[in-house]
Amino acid sequence: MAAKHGKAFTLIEALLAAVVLAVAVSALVVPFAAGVRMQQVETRRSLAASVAEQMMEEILHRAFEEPDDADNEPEDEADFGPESDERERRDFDAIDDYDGYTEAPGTLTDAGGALITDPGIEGLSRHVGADYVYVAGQDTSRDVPLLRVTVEVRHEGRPIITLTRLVHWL
Amino acid sequence: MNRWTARAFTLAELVMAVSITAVIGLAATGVAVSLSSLNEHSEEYYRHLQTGRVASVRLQQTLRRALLVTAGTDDSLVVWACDDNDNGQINLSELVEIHYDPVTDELFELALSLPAEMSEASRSAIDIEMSLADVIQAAANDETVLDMFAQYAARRVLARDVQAFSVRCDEPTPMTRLVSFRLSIGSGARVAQTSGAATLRAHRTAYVGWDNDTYVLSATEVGGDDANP
Repeated sequence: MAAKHGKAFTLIEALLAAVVLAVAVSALVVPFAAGVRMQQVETRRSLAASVAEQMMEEILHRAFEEPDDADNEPEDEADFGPESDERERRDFDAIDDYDGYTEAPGTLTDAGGALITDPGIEGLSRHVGADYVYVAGQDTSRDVPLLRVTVEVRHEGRPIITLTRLVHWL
Repeated sequence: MNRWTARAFTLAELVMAVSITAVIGLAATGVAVSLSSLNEHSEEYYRHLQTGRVASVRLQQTLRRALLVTAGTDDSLVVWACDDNDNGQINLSELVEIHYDPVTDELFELALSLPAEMSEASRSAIDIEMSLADVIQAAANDETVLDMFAQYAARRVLARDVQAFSVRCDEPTPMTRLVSFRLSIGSGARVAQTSGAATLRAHRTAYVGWDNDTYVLSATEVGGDDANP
């Protein structure tokens, strides 16, 4: 009986061996896995910055207010968003038209309307907002000459890049 | 002695232990190797992507401060980059060409760079004033406007290992105000794609008119409407 006892591993010994093995394998695998994950996060962030910049450049090239608006007054913020005849992005002709504009994952397009097919942008969505702002020291009794444009890129609903620009009404 | 014999592994146990260790070791090695390969692939992709981003930023710098995009094809642009001498006209040294060379896989800018020790007379003779029509015509003839003084053309590489480059303008040149571009960088299956856009912040399209079937650059604003052929 004593001899049999000596030959067999105890449960503790077997568990200890398994733990030692698991730690050794983890030590080998975890750094690689962490490296890959970090690269993926950085790649996504880099591409998100790129698509946010593209949208911002497109918006900045639009007019401050509707070109056919002859009253020479900034548009009421409540009227921000595309006009009834501006059904698609390519119809937008003023910055405020982009207010509330959203592109769901897999539908991001460039300024020409071509789908952006860069691998790595899966799961990214793009959201645009515009509002008037006063800056410190500005006369708040006058019409707001500054429009704040915000482009946010989200991954699975969480913001990963936010670009903001102030545009001055000339 | 009996105690020692009882404690030792039998041959069968040893073989089994070695086999199990080998199987687990091989599996762990396989996972580590594939993860290492994935990591390497990921790093290379990221490096290409960063190269593309740097090229994009450089392109944006040139385009954002440009006054006009005087000519463009699917993979090249000629821009009036600045008006250094404030004469309201295009001088050779104020032009920047952006080209993609599929032979060397390079995306580069060309601009006139005159030596500092060059005399003012020589400088003036080389840095000639060009009409907008001449600049457009040179591009239409597939000539680089800097060809005539090629020895003074400075080549600035924006990116290497470029597999494809394409540009698109919102309006036909020279009335362009927004330029979109796409870049593919890398080799084989490891190609990173990136895209970008740039708005000409201080464009002079309002100074471009249409006269005698050609574009002309006016000293004063012509309102833009007169520039529609």
